Amino acid sequence: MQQPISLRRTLETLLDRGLARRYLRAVSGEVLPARHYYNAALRDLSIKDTEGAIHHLVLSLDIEPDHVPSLHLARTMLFGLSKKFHDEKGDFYKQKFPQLPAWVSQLEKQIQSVETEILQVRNSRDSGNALSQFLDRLLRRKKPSRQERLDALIKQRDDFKRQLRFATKLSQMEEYARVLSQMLEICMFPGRYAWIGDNDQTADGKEQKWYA
Amino acid sequence: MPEWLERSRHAGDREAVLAEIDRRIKADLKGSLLWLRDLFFQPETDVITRREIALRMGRTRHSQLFNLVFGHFLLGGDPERVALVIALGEFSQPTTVPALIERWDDADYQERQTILDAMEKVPIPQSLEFFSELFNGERDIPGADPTQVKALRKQAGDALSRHLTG
Repeated sequence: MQQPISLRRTLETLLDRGLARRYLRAVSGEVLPARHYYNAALRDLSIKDTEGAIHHLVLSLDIEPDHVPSLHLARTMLFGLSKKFHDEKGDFYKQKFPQLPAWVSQLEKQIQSVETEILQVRNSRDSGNALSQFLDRLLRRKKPSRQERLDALIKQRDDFKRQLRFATKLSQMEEYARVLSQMLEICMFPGRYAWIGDNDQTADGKEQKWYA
Repeated sequence: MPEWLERSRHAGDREAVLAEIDRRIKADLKGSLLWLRDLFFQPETDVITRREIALRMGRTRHSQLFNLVFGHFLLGGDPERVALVIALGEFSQPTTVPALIERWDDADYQERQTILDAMEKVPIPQSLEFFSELFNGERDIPGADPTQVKALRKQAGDALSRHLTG
């Protein structure tokens, strides 16, 4: 016999707090049938709101874990995300940066540091003191002008920003795929998560049923 | 006008015919509607030329043309259905989705591919549900061989994936 467990509760336990807050938002008012949340997920997808669609699929499968259209939609989304990730060479970047969110925060820090540098250069004077100018001339050293340094820094910042957009996109796709695969696994193999809790009620207080 | 009707029958004149269509649509769309209609619905028009005309008609988003094309599609009239489906896809009207789904069972492989392309351009919940059902084998594909079934399911999965953000 399958161990009945709650999808919401299981995800709350398995996901990070931040993630759980985004995908397991509270539902106001009475709990509606699974079909309602499935339709809401389709509506979200039609306006390209993947996060909203996952949230509604969680609600739908929490109420009715054997709701086949919801399971199929989750499966199709997982396939689509994996394909997109592969097409964007996500596997290659994943080898280079095993933790994609860490790559994102690293890029954010780099952008911040370059922006500080840009500000410093903007506030600085173009030439150094007379002695250093004399030495530069004597040694025929070519020092970049303030404008040249500024241009180089702006170019570097734009490059980091471009990388950040790409990294955020990959990290987001990976996150969506992780949550969806976790959802599907919980629905298909609830026994694996039986250790999570012994209170087996859905959001509307009914006994939880599981997809076999 | 008869000159263009005649020329649209020959694949060799395709470029010239399409250039003339583009020119007329740009210059006076309203005045070209009847002419466009005749070119499109004339049975002898070259197949590829007709499909190109379908794209151009759809891009005008003109309601009279839309009603004409959609009416022919619903009635099952000529010309070849693939061209009608191409035009409907370009019009991107949600009202066409139920009719496209209804057509699915009787369509051949090429028309089914075009139906999926057309539905992808109308991303309403009904289209996305259809893609999901097809991808998961919930939709029958009568008369298709296993390779075609596989290709259509993949196309449906890909179509849905393009609506996922990341």
